[in-house]
Amino acid sequence: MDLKKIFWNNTALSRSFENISLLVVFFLVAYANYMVFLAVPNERIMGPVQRIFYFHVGCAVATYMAVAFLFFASLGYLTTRSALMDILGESATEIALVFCSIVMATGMIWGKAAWNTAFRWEPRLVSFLILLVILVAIVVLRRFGNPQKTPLNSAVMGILAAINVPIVVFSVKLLPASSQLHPQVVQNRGLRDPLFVKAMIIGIIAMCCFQLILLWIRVRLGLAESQLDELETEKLVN
Amino acid sequence: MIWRSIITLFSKDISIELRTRETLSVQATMSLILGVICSIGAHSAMLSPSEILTVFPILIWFTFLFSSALAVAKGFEYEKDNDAITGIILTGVDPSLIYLSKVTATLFTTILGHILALIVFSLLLNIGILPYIVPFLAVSILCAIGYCSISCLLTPVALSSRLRGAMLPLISLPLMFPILFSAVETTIEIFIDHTFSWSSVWVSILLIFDVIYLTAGINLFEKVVKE
Repeated sequence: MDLKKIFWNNTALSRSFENISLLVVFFLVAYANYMVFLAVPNERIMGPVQRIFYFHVGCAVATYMAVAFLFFASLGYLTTRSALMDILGESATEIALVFCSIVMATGMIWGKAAWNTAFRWEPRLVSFLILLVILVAIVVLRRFGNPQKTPLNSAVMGILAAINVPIVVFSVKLLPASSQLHPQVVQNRGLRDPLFVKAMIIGIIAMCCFQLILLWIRVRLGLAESQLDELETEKLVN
Repeated sequence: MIWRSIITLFSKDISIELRTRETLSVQATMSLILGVICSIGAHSAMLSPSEILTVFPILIWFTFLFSSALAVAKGFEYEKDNDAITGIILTGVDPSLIYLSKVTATLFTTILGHILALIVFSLLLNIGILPYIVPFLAVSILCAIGYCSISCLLTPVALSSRLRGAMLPLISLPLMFPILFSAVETTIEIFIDHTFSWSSVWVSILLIFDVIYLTAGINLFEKVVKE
């Protein structure tokens, strides 16, 4: 089974699959916006700023998903040396960086309203900041690395970055409750209104689907780039 | 057999170091310079002894990171410039043993540089280190193991890039954050709060990351250097 062909073949089937997916994601994101801004009532204490929570959580889950893709793509590259795995790893890194930045930005907006400061020394905030910096490091390595060794080196960094995530998340739980300032909304059953729960689930599904479609498009773009490189090399040889 | 290979490779690295004294000189000079700069800064800002003690944990680990980053990159440059690593691999030694010997040799120079920085800080900032020396050195060794594990794995990656040595801190420091935070927190427990315990959460985090990075290094080093 040639995965490259499955991804790349510009057939009517793949085009309609992509168009339908884009349409579904568009409606999901629109529905999530409707739920967050029109259907869900204001939270009693935080007021309207709490609405950012639904996107914040959705993007956090999407970030973890992208990092999982990065891990499997890196493992896949190290075992198979497939160019597709390298492209998937590169795409997953960029998408994870985008969603991680959104999580940090939305968290800072909420933090400014709740804590009167955009950033606080809080384990969960720091853990996401670490993830953001690691992802930036991988992007820098891809940009300035030795072109022949970049896929391999990035795969190694990808594995190191991905194994950091569960450990850092677990380490946060090890720390004493006194140092934890991040709201534990789900664990503490803070979503009293059923609409809150519904909006959160819709938000998570919408952001994850959005992340998947972005990843799909970025992988296709990466394959197109590699095909162009191949054609240019062929032209130079001939 | 495994130990013999590690000891032979380790003695090779140490004898090169003793002959040239380059890595140790870089590390020692950097520790001294950073120690002096931090001390001058602390005195210029007219910090009281208690305030100096408060900033000491971050200053000492900051110095450790800077001086070690230079030293690790320097240690690998010989292997890279003369392509000596290929020669060692061709002898049939398991690459994971080469990695372990590199980690041990780097650990040796890193700890020596760190001890020197500690002496400089204790003299210039007037911090009594003797009562806390055993737990602090133990924590330093745990932190240095994590640092050397990740640096020895990533140095060949950095040296093969266009930025060469400048790439190493860019890719290794983000992965060092958890270890660095744990080291700073443990140093606070030792010197300021006096609540240090071997069962502390921070020591556990240090140990977890040491094991993870060392295991990752043993398994991935071959892929990094062989191709």
